[in-house]
Amino acid sequence: MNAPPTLTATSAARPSTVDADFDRAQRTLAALQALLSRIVVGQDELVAQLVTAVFAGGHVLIEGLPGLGKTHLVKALASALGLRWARVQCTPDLMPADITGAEIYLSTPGGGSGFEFRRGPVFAQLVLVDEVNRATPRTQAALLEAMQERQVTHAGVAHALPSPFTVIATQNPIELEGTYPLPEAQLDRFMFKLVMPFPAREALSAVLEVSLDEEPADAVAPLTDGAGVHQLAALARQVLLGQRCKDAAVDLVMATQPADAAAADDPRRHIRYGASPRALQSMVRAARVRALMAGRVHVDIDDLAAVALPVLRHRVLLRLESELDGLSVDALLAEVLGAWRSRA
Amino acid sequence: MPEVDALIAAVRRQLRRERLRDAARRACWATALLLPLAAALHLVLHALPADGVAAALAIAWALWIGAAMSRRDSDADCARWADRQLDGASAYETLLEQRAAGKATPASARLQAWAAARVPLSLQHLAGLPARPLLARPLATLGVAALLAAALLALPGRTTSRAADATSAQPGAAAQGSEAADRDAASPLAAARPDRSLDDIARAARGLGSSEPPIDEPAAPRSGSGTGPQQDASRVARATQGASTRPGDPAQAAAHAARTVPAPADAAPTPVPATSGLPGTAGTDAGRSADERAVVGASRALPGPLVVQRSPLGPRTADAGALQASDETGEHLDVPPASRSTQAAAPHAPPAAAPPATVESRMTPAETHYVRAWARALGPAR
Repeated sequence: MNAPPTLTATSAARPSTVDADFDRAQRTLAALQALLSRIVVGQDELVAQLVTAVFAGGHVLIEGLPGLGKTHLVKALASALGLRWARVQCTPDLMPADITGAEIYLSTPGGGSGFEFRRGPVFAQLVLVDEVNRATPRTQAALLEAMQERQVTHAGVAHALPSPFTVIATQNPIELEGTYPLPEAQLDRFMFKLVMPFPAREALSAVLEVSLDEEPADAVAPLTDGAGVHQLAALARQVLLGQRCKDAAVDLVMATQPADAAAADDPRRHIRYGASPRALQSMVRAARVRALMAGRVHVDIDDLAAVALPVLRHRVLLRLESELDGLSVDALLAEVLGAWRSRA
Repeated sequence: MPEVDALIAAVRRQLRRERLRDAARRACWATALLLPLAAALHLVLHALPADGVAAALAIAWALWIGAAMSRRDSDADCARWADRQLDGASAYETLLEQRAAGKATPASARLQAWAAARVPLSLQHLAGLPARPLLARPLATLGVAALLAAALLALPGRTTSRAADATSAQPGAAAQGSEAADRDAASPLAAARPDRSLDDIARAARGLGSSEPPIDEPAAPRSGSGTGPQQDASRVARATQGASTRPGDPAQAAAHAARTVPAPADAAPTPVPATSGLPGTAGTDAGRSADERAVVGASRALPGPLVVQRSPLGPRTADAGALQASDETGEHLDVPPASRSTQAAAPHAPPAAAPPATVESRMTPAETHYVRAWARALGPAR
């Protein structure tokens, strides 16, 4: 539907470096998706969303059962992007300093000594926080400043995090005993919440073929580097956004507000808190990357619709009665999106 | 951007065609609704001009079509429509916004190229769009409605005699209807109106069938209301004979009953409830007053008939009703004493006030001849 037309015959634009950059960005994004889809088989949409969030400068929370390849995917992504990455395995006894770093006392052979800040794993370009809901709230809060401010303050000194900086956290929807669910304030820091589904039967057979004899994530050649990621993210910010898409994005966020008079009956009845303005910003930024993936330099409603669910699903809180009735956020948002899509 | 401008122009023409079709569809449905209504009104009122209906419909059609033609879609509206309907992916509207803002960014130049390459595909979609809204069903409905309306308009309208019947059929309008009938009968054209004469015949036949007017008809006054000297004399005699049973004089009533009818031993004299209630006509004064006021040979009938004022009474037995009816003719003396006790238990009717004269009951000589002729004709059949 949104296939880019061939510009060679009818293009009236002058060839420029920007055009070349757009073309190169599109090719990079397509190649990255293809690579990750070969490594994590059967999760094409998840791969596309993950790539979108990385280039939109957002953080991702992935929810899925153990053994589906979450860590594998993040590892392959870091390798493909040529980024430094680190992994934090969260446990209840994990301390904030274990993530951000700590000052240690060092003594030199010359008799000198002193405290030196030893950086933690959060100073990597791509941080995988595994089972983030097993960390204590204090440790989870240590991630807040890093994710939002992109800096770590220790002993009154602010340490800037590298760029690009992306946190990809995972959590297990089962085994909730001994876990600390993320507070809403921290959930809002994640641009996307992705749900990793169980792969289909054909995908399982393909998993055996690609991963039985070797670990595919270990042999990934980088497609770009940190600077390339930076350039591509900057190019995504040049993607045009028309008034129609702006209005549509605002309408969608307002449709999740239970206090809004224009909201439908279901949101008003089931939603306790709607999406935040940060959700609106995240949705537009992610839609720009999606437009770039599609070879366009302008955002379409389809781009907004493609990223709406992962942007909104962890920012919309249901009423307790609705949750007890078995209503899921995804089901409710599907109705909201359907109504919104018909109006937009 | 000649390609995009051409697309915008094509979209504008398409939108105008759609509005015209929509206006025609609405006009068809409205006309299909109004035509049967106009035909029905014509049947009821018999005064609906077909030219007026046609003019009203023409004005409505002109307003609809004119409103559809007068609106001009802006470029932004056309671009938005093209984005939504012609797979434009929001490119056309975004491009127009960039052009209006005067921004010449590399992205906008690339967007212009993208949109120009997209125009042929959008034009192809535009050419493949089905004509909407569909007009087949509204036009078919309009045709059926027009045929139905033409058939109904061809029927004759409702006549005035039917309207008069409808008016006289209402209970409250009976008196006015009879007045109008009398006025019509007095006119020379009355004889030429058979349905009017049938009503007169029916009313006259009811009057000839019984000497006393029915309870529903306007009745003549009971005291001295005869139509001639003989009738007055018989009324005086009956009043004299039945005066003893008037209320207020139970002793005389009992004595009179003992003289004429052998009463049972346990029978108690009971007064007969008065129905006329006029002062001076009860007891022994009844006969005297009748003799004094009655003038032989001259009727004291009022110029117009008196309408019987029907006052609500309690439940009465059939005997009581018969007694009340026979009170007019003095036949109440034949009622056995057992029935009189029942009559005594009946509630006394309040004295009736003199009702106003409302209806002229006299027939003109032409009516009289006409009625008699019909009565003779209907006599053997009855």
